[in-house]
Amino acid sequence: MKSKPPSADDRRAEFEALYDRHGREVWAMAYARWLDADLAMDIAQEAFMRLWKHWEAGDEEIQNIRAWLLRVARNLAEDYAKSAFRRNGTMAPQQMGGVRSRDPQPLEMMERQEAFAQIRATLEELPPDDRHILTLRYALDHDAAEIAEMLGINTTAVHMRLSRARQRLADRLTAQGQINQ
Amino acid sequence: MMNQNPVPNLPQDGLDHLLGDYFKAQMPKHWPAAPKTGAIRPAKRLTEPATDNLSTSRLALAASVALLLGGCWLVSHQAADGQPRTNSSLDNSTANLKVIKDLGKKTR
Repeated sequence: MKSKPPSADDRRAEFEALYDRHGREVWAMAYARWLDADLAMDIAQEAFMRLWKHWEAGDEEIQNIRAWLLRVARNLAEDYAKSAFRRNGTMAPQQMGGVRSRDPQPLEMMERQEAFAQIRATLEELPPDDRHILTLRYALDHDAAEIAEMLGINTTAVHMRLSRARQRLADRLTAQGQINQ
Repeated sequence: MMNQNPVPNLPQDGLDHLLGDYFKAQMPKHWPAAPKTGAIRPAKRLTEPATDNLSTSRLALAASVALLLGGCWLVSHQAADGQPRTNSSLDNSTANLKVIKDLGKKTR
């Protein structure tokens, strides 16, 4: 016997719950690809909109919604790669170096922004998969075991990649005088 | 004068703090609400009650059966009389004509 289809309110509530549960992870994946927070947010929102449209269309039920969202977001990020290269292959000036604003800032903020610019430059040299791990670790505060489960890899691999990424960052920031080892 | 060593004497986990600060700064300050989805248009396939279609077809079937039975009943009654009834209406109309003619004579 078929179960009763969910009401509009039930669907919306489920949608919001999924957004709360997986939104940041989807954002992190998109951010790791482009190191652009706003673009990552656009991608995350679009991925969720596609989920809603999928429901609306009455297409087949999604077995693993989290995996589906991440796959859609990854595809959207790759599509952006193609379109961005077609357009101009560059990014907005205020995004360069990870400095979001060109307004005069207190000295402390400028120093912080300089350190951030170094981090960003180093992140750009890392493989997207390593950036993804770093984003999950430092933006979303997941530990190695959680990251391993999320990415379907073992914890040792997460530790190795985190360690490698941190070492590269430490070398660069030390060379720039941003940190002391 | 700008400090050439802006983050001096960081503790061992200074890199962790710096990375934490960096990534937290990248995240939206206020996480936006779920995207607006507008008025839901529930998928027909999932939500349209199946009983609607069923009741419509049942009504159509009942009407068809009623028409068929009615037709059969009429035909059977005509056949039971054994005489064609086509003239009866003509006889009545003739009678009506006679009545009208009689009325016309009386009024003259």
